[in-house]
Amino acid sequence: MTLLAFLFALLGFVLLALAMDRHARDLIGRPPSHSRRRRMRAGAILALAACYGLTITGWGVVLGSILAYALMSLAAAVVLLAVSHRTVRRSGKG
Amino acid sequence: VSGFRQSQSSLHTWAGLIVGWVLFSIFLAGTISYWREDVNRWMRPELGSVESPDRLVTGAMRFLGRTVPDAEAWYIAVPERAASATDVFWQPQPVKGEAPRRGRRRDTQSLVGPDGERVSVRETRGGDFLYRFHFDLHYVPVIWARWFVGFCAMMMLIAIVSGVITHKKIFVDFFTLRRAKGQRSWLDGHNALAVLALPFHLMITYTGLVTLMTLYMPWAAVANYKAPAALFETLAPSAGRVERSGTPAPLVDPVPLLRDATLRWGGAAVGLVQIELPGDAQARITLTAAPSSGVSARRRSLTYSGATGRLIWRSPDTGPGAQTAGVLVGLHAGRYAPDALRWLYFLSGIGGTLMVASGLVLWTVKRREKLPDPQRPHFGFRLVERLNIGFVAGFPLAITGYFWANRLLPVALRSRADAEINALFLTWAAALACAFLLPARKAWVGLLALCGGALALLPLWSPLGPRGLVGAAVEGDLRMIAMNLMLLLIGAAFIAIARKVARYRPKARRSARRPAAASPEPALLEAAE
Repeated sequence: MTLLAFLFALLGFVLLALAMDRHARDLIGRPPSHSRRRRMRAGAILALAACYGLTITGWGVVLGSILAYALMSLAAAVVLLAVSHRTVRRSGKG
Repeated sequence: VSGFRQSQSSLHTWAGLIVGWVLFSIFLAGTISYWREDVNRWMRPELGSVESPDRLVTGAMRFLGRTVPDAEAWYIAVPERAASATDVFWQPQPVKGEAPRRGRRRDTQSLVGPDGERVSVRETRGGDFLYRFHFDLHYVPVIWARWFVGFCAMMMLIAIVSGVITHKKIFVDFFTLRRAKGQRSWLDGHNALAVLALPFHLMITYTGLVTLMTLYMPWAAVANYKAPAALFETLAPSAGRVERSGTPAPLVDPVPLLRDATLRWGGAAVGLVQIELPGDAQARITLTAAPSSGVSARRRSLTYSGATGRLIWRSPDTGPGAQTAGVLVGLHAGRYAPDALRWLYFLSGIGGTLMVASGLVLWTVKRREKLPDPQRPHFGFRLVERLNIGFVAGFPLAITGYFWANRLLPVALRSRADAEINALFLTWAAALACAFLLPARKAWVGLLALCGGALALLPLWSPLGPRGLVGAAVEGDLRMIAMNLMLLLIGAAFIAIARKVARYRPKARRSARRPAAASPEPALLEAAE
């Protein structure tokens, strides 16, 4: 349950990063269109909500809320490191 | 608006700098304290296999009944995590005409095994010392230390808020970490560490102040409560004092009461057994819930009659103020947190430690390029640079020295626990001396590499022993396996950082050759500063 919640948090932050011009260019080569960006942000919010929903079902409201925040922090850090790593590799090749 | 942001930027820089070194030490020691019990066990290799709490309480009762049957009160800590012995404390009967002695806990405490015998382990304060250090420091009076730590925490709060105002592109730069770009990378890294765990940093700093609020801001309490005891009674209600009757009566076995309490609390375990006036007809047994029973640091308790085992008192719900303070303190200490959450606390703590460290280094990185003569920087720059080395590389090395002293000092040494602590501060003093005497780069590389190597070698000391890399694995002692792997991992990380520093070539020369590449940067930097 916790692992699944973490994967949802990761998905949420990946979508948020891809919805941003700079990272989308670095990661997939082009910035997202306006509507696509909106869809990705909506998806990100759903994914983060799913993460929160899963943690509170598994751990109760009190512990689940704390855990959800901590998992989201960790997921954001992982996405940041991955984005940074990919960017270095791509710019190294190009 | 830009003038305001500029002023916030200066505030951030200087509020962060003057307390940064102390904050780094507090953050690091506090972060390790999330694994206090495990560090305790790792530093006492004599402790044997894990025992059930019931057997430990029974053993502790037998020990206390034999050694101090006439004490005023007994206290038995019921361990929650893997333990093979339990801490017992007692309060001797007051002697007429003599003030009760305080602060001499060592004479009235013991570590007792399930057989009711004192467990003979090497004398050490283990992880408890790092925990105390993170708010009491050492060698200075505790009250001064707490005021000083509180001042630093207040400055930290100022640095966090002004840092958020200064960092105007929090959302645009949310996932940004540009590598190998000198100052830009340091700034990105500092921002990333700060923003990603911002709620943690705010929470830990604010709740840290709350833990000592009655020291820092006594006025509300002084105005409302005539005696300090009345305040503590409100914050932590108890069944009240009892008078000794003088009639002896046998004490009931507290172990069945532990089950009764757990049943009444809906499954929460007992963390502390307190027995007042043991052996007297008026004896009372008070059970306090374990830390895992809830976020709040103020925990429920039940009081039973010691002669009959009947429930005579249950703690009332405390008021909203006390409840809020309890939750805030609980959030800070994380004692309620199961292991998975404890790991996330630990990671966030490391993030905070690195955030402070990167902020300190950033101060010098930013100013190095503006120095009129980089070969001979002015006094202030040199002082900050050297203190950075002495703390950021020196304090982890000092803790490593503490761990090594635990392994190397003879077990029978007199006041051995103090000797271990002295080893920590001697190592630190030596590191500071290196920082001021050696050239900066040599000092960084030398201290970081030494710290990494010494950390990584710790699990290899007596590898077949119960806490060694192989010994713990053979016994299947998961917590000690994890501790050893973390020592190896963190040691490797220190060595990797040392290699990076050793290979680093100052950017000034490169950017002088390629002025075109560097030109868009300054504008960005000024804006972000």
